[in-house]
Amino acid sequence: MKKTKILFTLLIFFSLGCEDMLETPTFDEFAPDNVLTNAKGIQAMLFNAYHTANRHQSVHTWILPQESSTDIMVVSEGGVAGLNAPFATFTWTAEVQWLNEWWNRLYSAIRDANTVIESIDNFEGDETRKVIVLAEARFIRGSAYADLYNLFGPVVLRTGSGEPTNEARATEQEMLELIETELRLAADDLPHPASLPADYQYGRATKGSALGYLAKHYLNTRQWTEAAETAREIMDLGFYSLVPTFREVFFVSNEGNSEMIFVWPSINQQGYHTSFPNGVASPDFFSAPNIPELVRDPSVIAAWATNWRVTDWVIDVMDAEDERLAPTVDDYIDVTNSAQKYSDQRSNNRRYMKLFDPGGQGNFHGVDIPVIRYADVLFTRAEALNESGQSIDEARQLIIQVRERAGLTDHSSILNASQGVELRDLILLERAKEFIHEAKRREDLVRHNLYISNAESRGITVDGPHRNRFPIPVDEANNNNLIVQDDGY
Amino acid sequence: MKIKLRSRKKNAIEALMLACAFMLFGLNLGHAQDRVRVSGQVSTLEDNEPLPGVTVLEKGTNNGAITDAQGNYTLQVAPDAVLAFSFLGYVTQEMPVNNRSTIDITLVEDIQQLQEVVVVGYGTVRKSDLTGAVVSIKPEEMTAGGANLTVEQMLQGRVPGVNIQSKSGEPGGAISVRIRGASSITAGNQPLYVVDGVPFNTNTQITSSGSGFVGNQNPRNPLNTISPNDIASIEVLKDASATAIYGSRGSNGVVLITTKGGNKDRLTVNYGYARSLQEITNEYELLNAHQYQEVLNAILDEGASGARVEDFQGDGINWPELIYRDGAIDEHNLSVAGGNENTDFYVALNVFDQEGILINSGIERYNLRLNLNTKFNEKFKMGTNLNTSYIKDDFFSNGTGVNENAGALYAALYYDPTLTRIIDPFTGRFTTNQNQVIDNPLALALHETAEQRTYRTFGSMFMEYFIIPGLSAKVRIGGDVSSARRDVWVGPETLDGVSTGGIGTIINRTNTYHLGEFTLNFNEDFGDHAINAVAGVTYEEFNTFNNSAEGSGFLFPDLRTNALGSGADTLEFVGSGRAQAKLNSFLGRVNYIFKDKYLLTVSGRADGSSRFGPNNRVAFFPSAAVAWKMHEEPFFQRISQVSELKLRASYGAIGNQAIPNNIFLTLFEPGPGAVFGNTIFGSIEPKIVGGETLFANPGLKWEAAVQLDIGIDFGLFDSRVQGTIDYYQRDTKDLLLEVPLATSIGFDKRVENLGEMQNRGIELGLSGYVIDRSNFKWEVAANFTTLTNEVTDLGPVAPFGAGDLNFARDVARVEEGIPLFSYLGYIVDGVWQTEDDFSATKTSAQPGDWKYRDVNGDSLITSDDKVILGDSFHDIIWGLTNTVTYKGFTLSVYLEGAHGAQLLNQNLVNTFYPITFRNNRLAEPYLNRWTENNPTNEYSSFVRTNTGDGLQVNSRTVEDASYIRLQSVRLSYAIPLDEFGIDFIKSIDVSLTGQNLKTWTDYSGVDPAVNSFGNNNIPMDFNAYPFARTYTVGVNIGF
Repeated sequence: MKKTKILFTLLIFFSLGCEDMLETPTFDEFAPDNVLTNAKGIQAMLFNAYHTANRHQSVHTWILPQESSTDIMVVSEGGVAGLNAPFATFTWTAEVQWLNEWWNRLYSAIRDANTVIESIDNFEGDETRKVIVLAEARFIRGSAYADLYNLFGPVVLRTGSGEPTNEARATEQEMLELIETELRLAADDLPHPASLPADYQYGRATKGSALGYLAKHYLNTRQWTEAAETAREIMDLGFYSLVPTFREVFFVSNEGNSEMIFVWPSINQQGYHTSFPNGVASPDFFSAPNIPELVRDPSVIAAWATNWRVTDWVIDVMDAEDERLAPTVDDYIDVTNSAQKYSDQRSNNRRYMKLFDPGGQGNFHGVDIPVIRYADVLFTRAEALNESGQSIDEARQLIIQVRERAGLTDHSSILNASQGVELRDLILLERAKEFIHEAKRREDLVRHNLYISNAESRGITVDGPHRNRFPIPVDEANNNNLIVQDDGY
Repeated sequence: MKIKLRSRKKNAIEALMLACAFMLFGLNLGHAQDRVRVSGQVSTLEDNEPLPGVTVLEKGTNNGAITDAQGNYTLQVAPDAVLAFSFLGYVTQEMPVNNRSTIDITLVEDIQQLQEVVVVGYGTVRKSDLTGAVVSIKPEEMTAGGANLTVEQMLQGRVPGVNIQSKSGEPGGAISVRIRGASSITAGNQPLYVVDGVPFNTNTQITSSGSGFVGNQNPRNPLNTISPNDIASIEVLKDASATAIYGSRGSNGVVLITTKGGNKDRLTVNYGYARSLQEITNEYELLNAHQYQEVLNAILDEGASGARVEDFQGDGINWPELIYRDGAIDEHNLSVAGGNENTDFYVALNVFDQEGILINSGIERYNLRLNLNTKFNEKFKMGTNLNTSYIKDDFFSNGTGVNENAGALYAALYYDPTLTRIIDPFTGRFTTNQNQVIDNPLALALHETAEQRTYRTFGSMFMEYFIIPGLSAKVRIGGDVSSARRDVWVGPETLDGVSTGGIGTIINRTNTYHLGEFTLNFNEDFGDHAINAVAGVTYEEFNTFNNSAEGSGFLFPDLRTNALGSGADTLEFVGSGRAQAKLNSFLGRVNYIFKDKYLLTVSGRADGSSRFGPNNRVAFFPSAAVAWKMHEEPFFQRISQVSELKLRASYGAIGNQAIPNNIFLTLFEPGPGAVFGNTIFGSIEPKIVGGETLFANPGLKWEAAVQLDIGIDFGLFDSRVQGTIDYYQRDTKDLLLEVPLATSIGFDKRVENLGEMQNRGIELGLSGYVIDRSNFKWEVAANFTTLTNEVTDLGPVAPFGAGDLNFARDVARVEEGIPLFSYLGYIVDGVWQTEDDFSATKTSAQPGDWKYRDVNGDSLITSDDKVILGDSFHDIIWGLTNTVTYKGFTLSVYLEGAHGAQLLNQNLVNTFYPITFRNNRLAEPYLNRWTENNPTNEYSSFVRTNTGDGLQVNSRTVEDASYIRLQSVRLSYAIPLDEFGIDFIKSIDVSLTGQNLKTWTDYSGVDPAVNSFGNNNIPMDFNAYPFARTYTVGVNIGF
């Protein structure tokens, strides 16, 4: 009897004499008060911003719409062709998946950059490092807004991590001001590419990256004088130069070369890769005589159903000695070991194998994606000089510099072109040849108000000038009551 | 429902006893003169009514009497005799005579014996005293349907208001259980399971599938760890009055599982063995190699682009045949039950081994249970329930992605059938197909493997101390530890594994749960008043510990996951995690009964949960119910046909807290890292929950539902027919809604308390004997449920989409005024015909294309033309069991039906909008496709089939998933052992059962109940593990 009573009392004690109720630590999770309080945490957040801004496996969703909506690329077959179809036919709507993905990605990068900027006071220790980290965050924020503006026009400006309130789109003026201020502040504090601090890894922003983005932004917003000046600043860094052989600019083995001002680094590992080469090769591609570095063993590299084809005119317009022809694949060996020719199969069917990784595995390729390279800076200055009525001679020399690297010797067309439209058209043509698969064609055409007429000349019905910009994606428009959609969408 | 035969039996036994008593009385007459004469009246304690027919016996003799119609008796006994008063249904009482001549006695009803007792939360009540909507199922009813593989199957189709569907035919696979619809949009919708008084943690499964392994969205059923053979009863609590005592976990209903106890007086040993064979009920009908070649090439000729199907030798390969097999189940069950006056026990061992109908899939289970109850004296009782199990799961690589992310079944279905070799003779590797991005199906089925071993022990001990007979204090301590390890291997034979020499992953997860509970129980009658009350306090804590390790780059892959460290150092990854949640609650309930006619129940629970914001941690969930036993009223006694009529009404609040931990905080997790140069540098990112980032909401609180229930319980013709009717209406408010944020915030969603939803309907349960003779009985049990679900308010949130699977995004819609997650898509009016007026559409169309309806008349097919195509809630579900017993034979036939729900058939989507031209397709649409010579409106020409244009969800791919199913037929025979003179064996039952025998449906996929998608309320049929037809032979021997 007594024993049972003692037992009973003990049980009550066991059952209810527990530790403090309802307080649970966040054992395995990082909360703001344990992670954004030191340099390491803030840098880890910054790296996430870099990762988010890097297009990686989605890089084709970035490149395809911006090229297949112009005259240099055709996308067919496979699920990708379906997703890309609205772009190729100028029928995209705010619901289109890739638009929403762009928006999400860029604003996620902005979110991380904002967090870094807000927490920067907690970055203790090396004061110079702190300045650089802040400048890197500004670069990511500024470049993301530049990309957003390029695609969507004025968007919502988020510069802090406040409540999820509705927010109207900024004005053109506010938008430009923010981008230019951010990138200029970043350029001021980012390290010179020739004197990077110890353990400042390749792929992080440098002074050149910020100036490059700023120059491109000025160019795309037709601020010619500023574009020319900023391009000049990059040239004056004295660091960048053109790689002598065009094909080698993009080689995995040649990563970090002097032409790359900003890249999205990739490695052939899942999540950090690009799949761009999967779509460029046709499903039956095995090898091509003019791309000796690449043998695509179908048991190692996945064959995608889709075909990303370069249009005939941009290949045919190149002179025979133009080294930029070199990545073009027409003759190839298929997986059954028989010789095939893309151009025999249908028109606009050749492939441009500039971005590939001989060590690619499955869907995973480790080729860096160029975002801004020196050739673009030279063309930027040339175009800006031409448009702003400044020295046409310097403009011509800059163009010729890039053409010479491509192995061309006869530059009479450039030398004979008059300032203004004539030279502009030649610059656009040079850019088309130079930047295949670098997602430049759309902005080049938009900048000169040719995007829509270019499409119409291909027989595409375009329902209005609003197509020069993309609509605010539904993920935003549906959940932000102050968004005013562009007319036409 | 089980029919009560009490009154009939009583009469027979009474007569028998009376006869015996007269005989005894007569025999004892001669001894009467030297004794004292005792007389008195026997009456009932409850209502003080005289009790006729009571046997009064002088203890130790054959001398006795029977009370007359007024309850009076007279007996000559020895002056020091002890009288025993016994009557069926009442507690036998003994009384020393002590020279008295008058002894009046009141007998107490033996509740255990007379009244069916129903388990409710934290106690039991007599079934007749129930005030809430509670359905109790006993094993004899449960086994009537056939061999039950899971707890859920025991309930399937038998309880009004409970919709149970297997989500696939996978061994041990997930089962969707929805009680009275869905109460929540984003939080959990599964009921709370309570096993022997201890809430059962269903959140114990490893959810991650392992690197490179294509896993299923639905983890296996956590209730696999309970053997259905051990179950004595299942109670389903449906209304607020019954569930409010479970407070914050009650809004989805509560299922109470009570396991078997021992016998007081005898030892019984039972051994059962069952062998089942399984076959696929319904195979996907795909194009065979010749059809494939003919049809695909014809489509190419008509303008599609893709690779031509070249000529091939023979008949190609029927890939699905290579992964199908006949399944088999072996089940052994041994139980021993026994005890004595003070102690009883139940020990059972269950062995279950199933080989699934797809190669390399199965489940093995070993389950041991001990239930032990003892009392030290009248004041102390204690007992323990302990269940320990070992489960080995073999997983088939079967995901819901496409191409290389879909797994072996997908590969088998869609792989090019014109291939003629499985192994490429030149490379020695599995053949691959240049025109498809799918690995060889056999490579995947054989070399992408995952197995899991789970060890789980749960149970509790309790001790009860009776302070006075009517008041006891009870302590219960419960615990649950489950430890699982999953070994995942992607071999170098597969495309995914080839580059790394195999990928091995080991995932470990340990869940612990403990419960401390202290309750006071009060049970007392005061004349016309009776009170039964419970009050208590509980503390519960849930912990999860997990870790995983991954290796690849194996030089010698033969050791698989047993030597992860033998891979390349640079390709090793580890991870770990830990989570905790706590609940601290106060609960109480009072049942008040007046004159055994008027019943009142008031109950409530105050719950505190660590999952909510610091300011909203504690909430109170009250409920009340009233009931009136009309048949006890004098004016009702005249209506002899109606033996029972009880009116009930209840109203109360219950909650839902089935959301992840810590979402009221902004959290970060280790991010993927950033690549600089060729190296990955670590990063942190906002925490991703379910693929999305969540913005903090420090004010987060409970989801609260209020539920109204009005019901009638009735019995007719001496309870030969029994039934129950309920109307219910549950309104959930403060829904834990993941509100999509403007993506410029940089976060996808925030969990907020917004919006309201309603579920309402009528439930009907009816059972009775059509024929009831001693050796021939025909019993019918039927139930019927209607359900209307409606999202009634979303607050400031705009209607939003949900449910992404591959290229079909936001297939379902959450919008005010329509059922939760209604399918949103296009109407297909047919197919564009050559003679149609194409100027009517600005959206590109050509003859043979699907003709989508331009709902808004703007000549364009845009997302504005989407309409609601239906929802996943069955308007009506019903079940019908017929049981016929003739001598030792019992035949039981069980039918179930479900009507008015839709299902998105993603296999049809994949056929109509193939992602890769050379993927194989379902045969029927392609063999009957539109051509110039076959201008049908049934199927398009499939020449232009973009996968990415969002048209996949339409009136052709969202199909009516109504069905009627012959769920089981069971024939059993109890061998009449006594006729053979065998007495050392008590019983031998043999049975033959067929399950899932036939389904009548218009649904074109393999099964209308399938759901490959993780969310039970957005069903999608895609590469589901096929359903099986099961034939079982069983024998059960009792000693």
